[in-house]
Amino acid sequence: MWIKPLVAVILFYFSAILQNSFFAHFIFLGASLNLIFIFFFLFVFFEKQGAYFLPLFYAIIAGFFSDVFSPVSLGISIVLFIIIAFSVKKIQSLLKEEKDSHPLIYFLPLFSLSFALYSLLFHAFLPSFAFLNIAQKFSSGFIIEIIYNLFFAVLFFYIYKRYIKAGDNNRQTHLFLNEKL
Amino acid sequence: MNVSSASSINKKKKNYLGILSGAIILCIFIFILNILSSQIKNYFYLLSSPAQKTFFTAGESLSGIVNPFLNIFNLAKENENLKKQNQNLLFQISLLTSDKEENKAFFDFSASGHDKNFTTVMASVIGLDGQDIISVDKGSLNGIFEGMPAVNQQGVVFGKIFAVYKNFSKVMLISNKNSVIDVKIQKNGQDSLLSEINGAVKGSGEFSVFLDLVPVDQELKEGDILVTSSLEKIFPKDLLVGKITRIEKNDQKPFQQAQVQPFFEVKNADNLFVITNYKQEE
Repeated sequence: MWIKPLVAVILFYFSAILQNSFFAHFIFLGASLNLIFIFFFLFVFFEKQGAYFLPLFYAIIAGFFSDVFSPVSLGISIVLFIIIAFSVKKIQSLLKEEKDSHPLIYFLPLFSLSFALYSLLFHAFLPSFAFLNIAQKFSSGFIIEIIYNLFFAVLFFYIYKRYIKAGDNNRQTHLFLNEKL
Repeated sequence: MNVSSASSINKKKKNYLGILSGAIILCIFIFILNILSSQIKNYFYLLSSPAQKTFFTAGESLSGIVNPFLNIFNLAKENENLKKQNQNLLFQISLLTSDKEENKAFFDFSASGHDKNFTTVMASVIGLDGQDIISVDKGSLNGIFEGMPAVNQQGVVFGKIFAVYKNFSKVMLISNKNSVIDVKIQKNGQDSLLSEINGAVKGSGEFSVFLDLVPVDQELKEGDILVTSSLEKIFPKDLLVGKITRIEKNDQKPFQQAQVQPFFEVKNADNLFVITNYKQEE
């Protein structure tokens, strides 16, 4: 129960370090990788329906590390991540339940929209008074940035689904069978 | 029916109260975080700087391998050497021109310490914080304060310090959208004579800058070199800024603009020099 949040904390922390150091050298056509957002979104997306406590926890931790390693005031990303986490869970609850409860077809637009929203609002709080630069952000490789991050998000989506989600399901099946026995 | 609707209203009320109290707690939490912001950021820097520096160097090495491979025929190392050599030569030209014009002393920011006019603090680049802001591993304990200029070994302007913590600082690059610096234009191919054209280099984000506020009657050419003019009292004069690549002139506007290729390169910047004692001549 506590392992997943602990892993999330460590993962968010190292993502923050990596995206500010290692991936700073891999800026592609002006687009940089936002690893914290990708992992935060994955954790929220795969959280079970109706669960709001863990998404809130992920939003606070991911937002905290995002702000610590960026020039904005502490709290900006926390608030934005909380809004995104609750919106995603709400939208997921409204979507038609498929056989596969977390399909890629839901993940792609939700991730893209959330990333775009976060990116634009985060820019509004940068020290460059970027309220005026939001329009500029749209034109300058914004789509490339979304695609760049989406590529890695999809990659991690499959890894998460293949190994972590499958592991969760197996454990739940075992628990169910044990209870029946 | 009435009982169920009353319980539904109560439930809604409880939900709203829950959200409201959650929001209040969050606001208090964020308020406390911001009071301790400086200490928290400094603590995490201290905790993370060894790993961050290692990953930064690893990324630099890997991008050095991957980028030439992606560009196929780009011989990265040779290009880098040529760029450094070019910057050195441009810097020399800038200095010699300055000598000729105003008979000022030669200065250099090299680590060998030839400089007699400025005191510099050498700082390692440890990370890039999103929008044209880099972190360096020296802070207020090393005598760094806000507004101090940061340059490299070749005298290329990177930007100025905009946030200082105990053990590290953040440098706002000249390409940051909030950055404006005064420059003068060194005419290309005119016996290295500095013209009197002044302008402002503004950041446009993503490591790019442009020249602005140059009157339309002034003649600009592609390849003209921009150096700092020291009018704003932050940067010493004659530091290298960039090269004009494309002129955008419109007679309807009072000023002309130009695209500028900045000389600074974050990817190849391991160390920067923060000028700690620059004072504008009276």
